[in-house]
Amino acid sequence: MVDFETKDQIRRSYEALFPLKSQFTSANIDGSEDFESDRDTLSELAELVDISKPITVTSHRPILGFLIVGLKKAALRMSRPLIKVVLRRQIDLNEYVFHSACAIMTLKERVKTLESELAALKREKGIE
Amino acid sequence: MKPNRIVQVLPCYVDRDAVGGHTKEIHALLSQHGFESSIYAELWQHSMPCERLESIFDIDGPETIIIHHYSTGSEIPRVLLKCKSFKITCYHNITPYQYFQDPSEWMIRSSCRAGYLQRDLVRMVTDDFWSDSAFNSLQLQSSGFQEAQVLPILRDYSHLKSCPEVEQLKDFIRGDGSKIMLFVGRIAPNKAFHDLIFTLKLYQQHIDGKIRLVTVGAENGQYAQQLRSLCGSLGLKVQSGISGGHCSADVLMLGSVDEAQLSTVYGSADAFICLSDHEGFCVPLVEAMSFGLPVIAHGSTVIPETLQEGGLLVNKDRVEDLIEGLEKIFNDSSYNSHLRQKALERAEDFSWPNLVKKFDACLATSLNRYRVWREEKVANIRIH
Repeated sequence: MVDFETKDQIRRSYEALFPLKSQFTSANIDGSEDFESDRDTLSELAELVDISKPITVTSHRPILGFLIVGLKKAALRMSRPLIKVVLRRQIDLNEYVFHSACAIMTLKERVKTLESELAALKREKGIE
Repeated sequence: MKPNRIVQVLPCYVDRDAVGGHTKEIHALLSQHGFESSIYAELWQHSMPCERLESIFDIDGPETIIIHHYSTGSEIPRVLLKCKSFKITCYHNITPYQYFQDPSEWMIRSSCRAGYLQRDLVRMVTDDFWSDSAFNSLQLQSSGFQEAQVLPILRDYSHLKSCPEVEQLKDFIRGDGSKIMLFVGRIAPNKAFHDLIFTLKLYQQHIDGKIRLVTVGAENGQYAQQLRSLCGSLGLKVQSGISGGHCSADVLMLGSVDEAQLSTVYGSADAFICLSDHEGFCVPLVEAMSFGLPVIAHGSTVIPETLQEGGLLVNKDRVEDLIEGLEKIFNDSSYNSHLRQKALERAEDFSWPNLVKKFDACLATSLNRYRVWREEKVANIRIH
């Protein structure tokens, strides 16, 4: 038999676990999804895949700026062979992620096609 | 007017899956009744006798009945639209896709979502309607389906009970003599394994430290990893799979096991606990009851219907009542015996002879409806 006091302690311990529990709370079961912006997001993602593209080096300082830009460029050139290996691995991962996102997008498109087919069928059969 | 054949069609036909097993048993019963029977699927396990979905057109016609097992989105409703056979939809419920948030689970998420979107299409290709439970039937009735005939998942539970116990596994699970609370099911968010872990922690903290959670079920996706980190945060020791000696972990995640091992696990447990947020039928609940295990379960979705008087129903949000129920099961021997008796009584409703009777009744009603449907078809042909 669990007495009232123990039950109260259990309740309090349980409430203390809420921050941990929140990561498992299911998403809004009736929530809807936004499909429209997916294509834009995918185009933006495509631009970000190759992170080895040269970057523009700038400085906002009026006089020392030329020197800072020169130093930054030199540092970048020197470190390039070292970071190239890491960049290659990151690019491989980015490509993999991008292709997975494309696959998901294709599937979502297919669902949309199914929805429109269904709407057409409903109209044809006179179903509300 | 009798059909020449009754065939079944399902998205994915695999062994040791509730719908796959159900299909296999229906196939066997139809053959026993003298019907020509075959199974068609989009995907299937190599060892399962099955034909490609598209070949269904070879046997399609008014002299055929097609049973469509509807449990996820698939091409099947679109194929059935073109079929001229009498179609029975057998609804097994679809897990709400929102449970699958992890990117690694996008495929199952998409299938479940497509399943929901196809509801109206499925209704259009349904001449008769079967369902695992009244709960599932009501769910589709709200989408305009007729009331279904209820046919629980067909499974001979006595077969599992008759499997020989694996002694080494029994010793391993029992370990240091801790009480064992068991849950069986795929490691998925809708099964709320995280709540099982919270319950274990609270029980250890406030009632008795000598208790172990044992789970059986395949793992995929990030959720299992999340559960392991949760155990780490709560200071619970986790062990995965079976090894020699005695288990000393707080949480033992056995993964997939064979029938003999599953039978041993049921035989070694002290209680079966189910805190799922969503279940379509919950075969493990019936398995546990057939072993006479005391059952404690959260009353969500179909669980109150499957369990009925066979165990203790609780609201898991009132965690203190859940812990109290567990404590009573473990420490009150007369209550424990009472629950064991109730479990066995409820399991009797799912005994093989009873399930066969239910199947025969469903089939007889559907054959009558088929007769009417066929006569109308013939009459229409004469008029035209």
